[in-house]
Amino acid sequence: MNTERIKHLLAKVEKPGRYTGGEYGELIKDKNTVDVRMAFCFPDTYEIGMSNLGVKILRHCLNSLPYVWCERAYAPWDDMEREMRKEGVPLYALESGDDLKDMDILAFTLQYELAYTNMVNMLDLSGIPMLAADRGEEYPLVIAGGPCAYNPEPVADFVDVFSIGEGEFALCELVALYRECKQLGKTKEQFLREAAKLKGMYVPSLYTVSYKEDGTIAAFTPKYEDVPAVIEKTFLTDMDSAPFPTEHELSFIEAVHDRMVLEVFRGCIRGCRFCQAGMVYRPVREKSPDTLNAQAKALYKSTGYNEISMCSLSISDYSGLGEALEKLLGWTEKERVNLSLPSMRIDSFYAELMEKAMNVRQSGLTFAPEAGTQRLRDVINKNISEDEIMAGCAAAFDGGRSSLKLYFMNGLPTETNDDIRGIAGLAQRIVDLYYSKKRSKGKGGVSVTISVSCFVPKPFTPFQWMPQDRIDELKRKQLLLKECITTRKISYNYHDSEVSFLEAVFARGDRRLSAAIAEAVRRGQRFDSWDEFFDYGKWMQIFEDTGIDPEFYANRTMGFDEILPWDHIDCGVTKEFLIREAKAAIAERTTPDCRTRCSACGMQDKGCTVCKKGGKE
Amino acid sequence: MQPPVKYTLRIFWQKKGNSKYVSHLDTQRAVVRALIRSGLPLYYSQGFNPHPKLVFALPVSIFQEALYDVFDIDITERISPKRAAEMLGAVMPGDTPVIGAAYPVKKFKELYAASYLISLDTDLKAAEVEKALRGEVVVEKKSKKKCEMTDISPMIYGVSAVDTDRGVILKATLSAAPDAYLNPKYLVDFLGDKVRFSETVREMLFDKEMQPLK
Repeated sequence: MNTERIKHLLAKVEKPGRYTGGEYGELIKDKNTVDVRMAFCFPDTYEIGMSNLGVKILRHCLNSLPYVWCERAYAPWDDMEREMRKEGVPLYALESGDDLKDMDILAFTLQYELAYTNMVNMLDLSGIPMLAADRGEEYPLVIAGGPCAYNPEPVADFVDVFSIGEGEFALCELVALYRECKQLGKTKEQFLREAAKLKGMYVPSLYTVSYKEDGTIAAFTPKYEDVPAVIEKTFLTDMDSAPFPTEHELSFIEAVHDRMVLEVFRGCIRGCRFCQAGMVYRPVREKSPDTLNAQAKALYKSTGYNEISMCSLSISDYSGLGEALEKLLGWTEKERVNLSLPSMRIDSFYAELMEKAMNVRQSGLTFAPEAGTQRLRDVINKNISEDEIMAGCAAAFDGGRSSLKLYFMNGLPTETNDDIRGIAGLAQRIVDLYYSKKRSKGKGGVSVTISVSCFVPKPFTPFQWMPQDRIDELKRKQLLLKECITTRKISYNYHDSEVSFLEAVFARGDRRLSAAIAEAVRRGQRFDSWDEFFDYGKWMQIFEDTGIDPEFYANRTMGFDEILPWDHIDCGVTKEFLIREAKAAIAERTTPDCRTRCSACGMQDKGCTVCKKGGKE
Repeated sequence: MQPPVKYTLRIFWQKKGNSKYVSHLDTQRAVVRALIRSGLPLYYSQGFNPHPKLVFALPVSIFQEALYDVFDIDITERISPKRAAEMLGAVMPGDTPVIGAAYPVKKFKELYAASYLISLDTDLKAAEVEKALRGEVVVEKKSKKKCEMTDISPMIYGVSAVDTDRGVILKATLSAAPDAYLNPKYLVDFLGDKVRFSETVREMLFDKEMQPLK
C-alpha cells in the first residue's frame, strides 16, 4: 500500500511495520477486475492475527474466486489508534490501503469473547456505524464467524450475517450470492433474506426475542416463514481435499506463531465436559500422513520457516501420528527444520513418542490434567488416571526433561477444597517422582509449573448450564492452593478471576449484552484480553448503566428446560446428549472416548467415521 | 557432517519503501527465510542450533531507507554471483530487492563513510541548514554506555543543501567507520523543532578510498 498519507503517524508509533502491508507473499489483485472487495478483519493485534491459521485458510478460499479480492485488517494498537483518530485517518486494508468503509464486505473472526469490543471499535474506527440497524446501503456488509459465533447473541446487534461452522465453502457461497444480488441491484434487506436460506448462515435481524419476567428467554422466533428456526453449522467432510494454503504472506514483524502450521485433524474423540472445541468441531476428520507431508514440504518451500508446528486438539489421538512423524522426520532433519507438537495427553503414548522421535522439539512440556483429584477428573470426563500422569512424567524425566508445566482449572462444577489441595498434592508427587529417579538425566533441580485458569461455562458443552464460581470464591480457592504449596520446586500462577468473569458473561450472554458492548466501546474499552487495558471497575459501571446484571449470565444455574440464548444454533451435538453428559458429570460417571464406544452425541448420523453407529443408545 | 569448505558471498540489496518501517532484527529474520527459500547452498554454523551465517555491513535504522546495502552470507559452493543474485532476488520481499552479488573485495571494517539524502519539512532555508551544520554540531549522543553532549562535526565529512517547494533537501556524507558511526538522525536532531518531519535515504556506502564498498 501507499503509506504516504500515514507517514507522519507511523513515525510516532511502536512497530510501524504492522500498519503498512508489503510483506513477502502479499496478494495484490487489480481492484478494477474484481466484483467484490473484502477485508478479513482480525479483532486483535497484527502479530496475533497474522498467526491465525483459520484466517489464512478462509482468505485462501475467498481469494481463489477470481471476482473476489479479500485483504487483511487488524486492530491497531492504542498508540496508532490515537494518531488515526487525531488525524482523521479511518481504518484501512493493508494491501490496497483503501478504507474499510469502501469495501463490500468486512469479515470478522471471533476467536475469544474479550475481542468483542475490538470488533466494534474497528467498525467505529473505520467510520462505520456500530449497529447493523444504523448501517444503510452505503456501508459494507459486516459478517462474522469463528468459535464465538456459536453463541452469536452478545454481538448480534453489530453483525449482519454470522457464518456458523467451518466457512471454507459456506463463505464462498455467501459471497457468490452477494455478488449476484449486487449485480441485480437488490437491496441489503433483500440480500439478507436470501442469505438466511443458505446453510450455516444466521441473520440475527430476522429474528425476534422475547423475555420472561425472570429475564430468561420466552421465545426466539423467525420474523418470516422462509427464515429457518434453527441454523445448522456447515462443516467439511474430507480433510485431504480441503482447501489449504501452502503459500501465504509472511509477517515482517515477528508474529506470535512465526512458523509453519500444519492442521492435522479437526474434532476430538475425548469429550471433556468443559471443552467447547471438543464438542463443536465434531466429527473427527483426519488428514492422511501423505497429505500432511506434502503440505509441509510445499509450505517449507514457499516460506523458508525452520519450524513446523502440528496443530489439532489432543494430537496424540491422531491415528496417523507415528507414520506422519516418520515421513516428516525423513526430510526435516536434513533441512534443519524443527517439529513441534502442541500439549499432549500424558499417557503411555507419550513415552513411545519420546523414543521414536527424540528429535521432535517440544517447546516446553505441557500437560493438562485439568483437575487435581480422580473424582473431579471423572466429573469433567478427563479420562486419565494418576498412574498415567505419573507414567507420562516419568517418561519425560527419563528423556532428560526436568521442567514441565501442568494446566488446571479452578471452579469446576462440584469442586471442593479437597480437589484444590489435590492439585498441590499431584504437583508434589511429580516433584518427588523426579527425585526418586536416581538416574534422572536432567541437570539441576526439577521445576513444575502449575498454571490454573478459572472455569468458564461455555455454550454447547455439558457444563453450559453450570454456574461459574463467584469472583470471591475463585479468589479464595486461588489463595487456598497457594497455601498448599510448600516447595519452591513448584511455581504457581493463576488467571485473573475478574477477566474470567467477564468472559463467562459474554460466553453465555444474550442479545441484551450488545448494548453494554456498544457503550463500552464508546467509553474507550478495547483490548479487554490485555492486562494493560482490562478494567473490571469500568465494566461493572457499564453493566450498571446499561441495566444489565452480569451475574445473571455468569453465576446462574440455567435450567435444562430453559431456552438458552444459543438454542437456535445447531452445532451437530444434540442437547439431549449434552444433558446426558451433564447428569453423568454430577453422578461422577465417565463417558468413554468415541473410538472406544459411540455415545450418540448427534454426529453419528452426520458423517462421523469414528464411532460405530448408535453404540450406546 | 558439514562440508568444511565455505565461501563468503556479498549480496548488494536495497531496503526501501515500506520496508523502512521494519526493524533490523525483523529484517534479519526475513532475510534468513529468504535465504532458505532461495535454494542457495547455505553454510550452516556448526552448533547445537545450526543457522545460516549472515552479517550486515551497516544496518540502517528503522525509518531510514538504503539504496545500497550490503550483507555477507556463507555458502558451500563457489557459485556464480550473478546466479546467486538471481536465486535470492527471486524470493526477497518486494521492498528489499537484490541489486547484485560479488565475492567480497574489501572487509566490512574498511567501511569509512556513507552518503545520505535527507528531506526536511521545514521553514529553514538551505543556506541556514548548511551554515548550521558546518559549524560546531553539539548533540546529545548516545553510545552503548552513556549519553553525553558531543561535538559531532569531525564525523561530518560534507553537507550541502538545496531549497525545494516543500522545505530543504540535505545531502550529507557522514562517518560510517566501525568505531565512529554517525547516525544521520543526529543532524536532524540538531536542527531541532524547526524541522517538522524528515525522511532519510542512505545512498551509498564508501570505503577508505571513497569508492563504493565492494
